[in-house]
Amino acid sequence: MGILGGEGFSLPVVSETEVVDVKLNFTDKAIRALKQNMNGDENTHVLVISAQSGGCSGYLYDMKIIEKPEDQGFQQISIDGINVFVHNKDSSMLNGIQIDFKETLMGGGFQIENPNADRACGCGQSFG
Amino acid sequence: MRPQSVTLLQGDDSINVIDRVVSNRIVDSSDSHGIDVLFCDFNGRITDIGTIYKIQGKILLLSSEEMGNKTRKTLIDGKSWDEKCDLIIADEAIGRVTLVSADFQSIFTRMGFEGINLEKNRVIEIDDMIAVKSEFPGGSVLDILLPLDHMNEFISILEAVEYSEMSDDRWNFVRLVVCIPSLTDISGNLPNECGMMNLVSKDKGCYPGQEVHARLDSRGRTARRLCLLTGEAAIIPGKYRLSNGSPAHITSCESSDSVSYGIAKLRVDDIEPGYVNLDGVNWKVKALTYL
Repeated sequence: MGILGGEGFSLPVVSETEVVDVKLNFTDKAIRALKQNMNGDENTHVLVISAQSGGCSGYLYDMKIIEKPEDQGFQQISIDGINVFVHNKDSSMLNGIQIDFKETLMGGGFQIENPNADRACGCGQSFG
Repeated sequence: MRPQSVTLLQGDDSINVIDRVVSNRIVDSSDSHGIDVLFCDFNGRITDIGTIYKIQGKILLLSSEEMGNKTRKTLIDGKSWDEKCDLIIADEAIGRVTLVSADFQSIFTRMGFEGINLEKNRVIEIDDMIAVKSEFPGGSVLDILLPLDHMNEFISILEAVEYSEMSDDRWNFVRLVVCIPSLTDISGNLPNECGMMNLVSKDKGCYPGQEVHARLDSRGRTARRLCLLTGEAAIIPGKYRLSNGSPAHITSCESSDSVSYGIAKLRVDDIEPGYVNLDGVNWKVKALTYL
């Protein structure tokens, strides 16, 4: 049966997280950049902003433009006609973030300021 | 048997979920090897130590008993919404027996297993068990992982070939002889202070503590080191002053037959003579380096 065939394994661990109603702040530059990236797919695609472990400070931001996910755990926020999704599990970490867009040759792109973060790494991709 | 936290991770993204939070690169590691890993905080200080094994497409993580739930929470909280990774607690499912012997090969022969080729960190699957030989600065041990519901039967087999279970004190003594660090010895220290830079991958990119580890590598000078103390007197773990006034933090100590071993954090300058004087007693001292 192998080492994993015995008894005593738990059910998958579920972490209890605080769920809050997410508010997001996009600057005008960020909205313009987002619309440009959506490329007219606003009706079928959404922006998902999420957090995952990693980076120098503990958590990394992730932003993806994808087709509307089937997962029921998302909160939907409308930003100037664009649907932005934040998963409930990330809601307490991402509530109140300000998303800006910087056009520079180095370190440009979407920049996130997070009022919930105690620290952030130099490149701005990681927080904790 | 060694107390530990056992966690099974299953799902296609399991290796990525762990890789993002440990200090060494594990994504491209071989399936047939056990890999030691360090969990660090954003200051680069060690919070937990573990070993991962890839088994049947899943990942088994053995980590410290003290930090087990916190490490699991770090992993599950850090899973992205679209990653496939389930954490299963296996504390009641899988046990670890650590064998200490000068001749591991004979253990297998005496138990009736022939042709077992032991190499450092190589995972060998035998029936319901896996066996892994680990090397430390003071010697080697053989870890056997097996389903807990087979543990009594396995212990009986070991007793039949004249192996006996150690008391906690005896195990503490033996682990100090072999230089197996406990979390108490290394927690809150930087990997270089513990001689564990072998568990820091300089080429893997960001992970918690990476910025600090990178600076240590390029500009850092190691001021303190984890050391093995050998002497004849017993000493209680705690904070001391050496005869020259330098601080000494003893994290573990155990005595047997008038020989004492301890693990201590000492200033590098105090280690160089090869001995230190604590409360009027000389101790032989050697900085620990894990390879």
